[in-house]
Amino acid sequence: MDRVIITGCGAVSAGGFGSDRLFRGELPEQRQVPPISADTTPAAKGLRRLPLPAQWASLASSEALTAAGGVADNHRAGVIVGTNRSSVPPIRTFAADAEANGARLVNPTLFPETVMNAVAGHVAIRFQLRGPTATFSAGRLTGFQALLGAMDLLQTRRLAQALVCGVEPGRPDRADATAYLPGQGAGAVLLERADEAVGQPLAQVEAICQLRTGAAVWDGLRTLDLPRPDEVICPGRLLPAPPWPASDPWEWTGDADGASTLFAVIAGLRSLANGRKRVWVVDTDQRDVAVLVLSAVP
Amino acid sequence: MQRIVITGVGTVTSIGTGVPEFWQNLLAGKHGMAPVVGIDAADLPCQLACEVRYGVPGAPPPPGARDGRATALLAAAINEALAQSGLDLAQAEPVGLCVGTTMGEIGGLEQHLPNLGANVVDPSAITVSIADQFRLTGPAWTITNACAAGNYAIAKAFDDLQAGRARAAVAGGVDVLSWVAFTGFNSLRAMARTRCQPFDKNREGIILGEGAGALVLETAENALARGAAILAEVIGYGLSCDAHHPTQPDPEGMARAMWQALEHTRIRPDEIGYVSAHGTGTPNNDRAEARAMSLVFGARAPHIPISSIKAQIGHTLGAASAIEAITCVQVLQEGMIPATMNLETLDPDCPLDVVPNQPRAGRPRYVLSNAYAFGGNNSSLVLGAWTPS
Repeated sequence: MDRVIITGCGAVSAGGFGSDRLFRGELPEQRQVPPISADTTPAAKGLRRLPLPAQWASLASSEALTAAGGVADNHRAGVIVGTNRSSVPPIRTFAADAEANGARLVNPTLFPETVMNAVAGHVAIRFQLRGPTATFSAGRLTGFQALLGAMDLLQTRRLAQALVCGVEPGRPDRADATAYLPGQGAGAVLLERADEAVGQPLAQVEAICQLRTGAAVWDGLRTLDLPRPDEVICPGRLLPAPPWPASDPWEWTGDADGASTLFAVIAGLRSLANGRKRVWVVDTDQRDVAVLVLSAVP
Repeated sequence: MQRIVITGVGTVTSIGTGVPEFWQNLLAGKHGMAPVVGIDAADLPCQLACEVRYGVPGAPPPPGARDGRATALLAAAINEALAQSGLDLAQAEPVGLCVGTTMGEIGGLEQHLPNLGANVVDPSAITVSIADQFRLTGPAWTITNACAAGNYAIAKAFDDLQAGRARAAVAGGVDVLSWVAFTGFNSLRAMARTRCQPFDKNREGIILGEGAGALVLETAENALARGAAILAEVIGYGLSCDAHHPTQPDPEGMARAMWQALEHTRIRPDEIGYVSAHGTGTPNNDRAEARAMSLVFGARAPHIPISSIKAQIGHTLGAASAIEAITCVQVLQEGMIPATMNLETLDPDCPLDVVPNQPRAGRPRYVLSNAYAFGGNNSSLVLGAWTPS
């Protein structure tokens, strides 16, 4: 596998705008993203007209790109988004407008936002990223699929830089589930081919894979012969206790579906910055398990 | 690098269930347009659509079935493709699955609009259901790249096979008629009132359709080892993003996808013998696409046969480029190029050989299939006639 590094990260979460705010510890009960405007951060300028998922993705992407120092060739930089439900708020808005004004007079600016790949389009336009762009949906493993899809485009040299973003508006239909911690927001990382990188590496991607294991998650992962971690970051509570020191970013962010994996990756970057040599980010949807191996760069 | 081939195709459209019926009706110039039945189109300027038949034996579930219509259409297409390929799924394990869609399984959601509650079904639900139904245990992807999703699904399957994650994969696209899309395209004034006329001077816009297309991709090594009949080869693809506008196309971005496809496949522009156009019938798309053709093919652009089948089956969104890839396979197999129907006066801004109104004999060696989507997503797929060497 050609060497791929992470050079920037960004987040919008219940803590607000900024990857450092993911880990503030004291978060609102509902884990909802607070209002973010151009008054609170210049990065939000010009975003107000967009649906919230597109705003959050743009903000998280802005932080990641700024940290990395931008892109070298915008024709070889693309946006890869993982999301399950970013189209839901725009669909709701569209339907409400049709109900209020009649289907014939619905606001024409609303419909383009109802397609799932609208978020990727807005991010690409805002930062002028003209390489291949894709949007993936895979339930709990949506964020992993976006990372996997980005890695494929980097490995085949169709991209030199991949801005990977997971974004979710939250799942109010599950807000009452006692075992469920609702979350929302957007997380972004910039992956670069090491041989064409612009930014300084925060971590190296040693491996990423997904396999069918059912419930036997850790046994299944052992078959992959991956280098052992110092820490495992497992979003959520569906995984059995791992055989290594573990942390759960849901404690800070709640379950934000497609964004959760990216929040977990950012947690992994923080662990590496704090002295860990290697971390695994792991998640499962009870059918497949996915793992991302990050290591410190010497 | 592995050569990737197609060994089975399947489709469900408004002009036929199954590739033989679809292809026969396509060449006969038939269309599937009729007054819309499955959704409430009252008060909208356009009330026509190309729907898959309702209420007849073997028809898919009606709209509003929470777990039904899109999955059923795609399952039918995949059934046909797998049957044609003769692939033994148990022996070929793991077999991958790549599904492209725009609206996913939206029927249940739309029944409850504007309140949604627990009625939202993730787009990946189709993929999970199909994987379970057919026991496909390989990599499974759901790509929601709107009107280019089919091409993206084929490209993903291609990459999976090249990377050795599987020896075979099913790639396809599906979309059902949705109230959101129908009302939305009407709101954009992007729909024709009477018919879709790609590249015509007086074209008004799209007619929406629904359907599904599925292709079985394998490594050539696997296909040859089991004695499968190879229908065509997937040579490669190109992708780009306009980064220009959420809905308006950019010819430069379209051209870059075609250039990238040709560059990656090392196919010269003069080797392309047919282009399956995106050809939606909107003033902006068709003009931009013609400009993109000129940028890539130069003086040869007006002489390459290029046709859009959307005049006959409507714009099937996420299914479109999967069905168009199947059309390209048929072109390579049958030596007939489908027409662009409903053409009366060619737009002078679209100086192309659009194969007007009558299909034409032709056996190209390589074909190019283009699909473009909201968000500036551009895709170009290169397919070729199979030759062993």
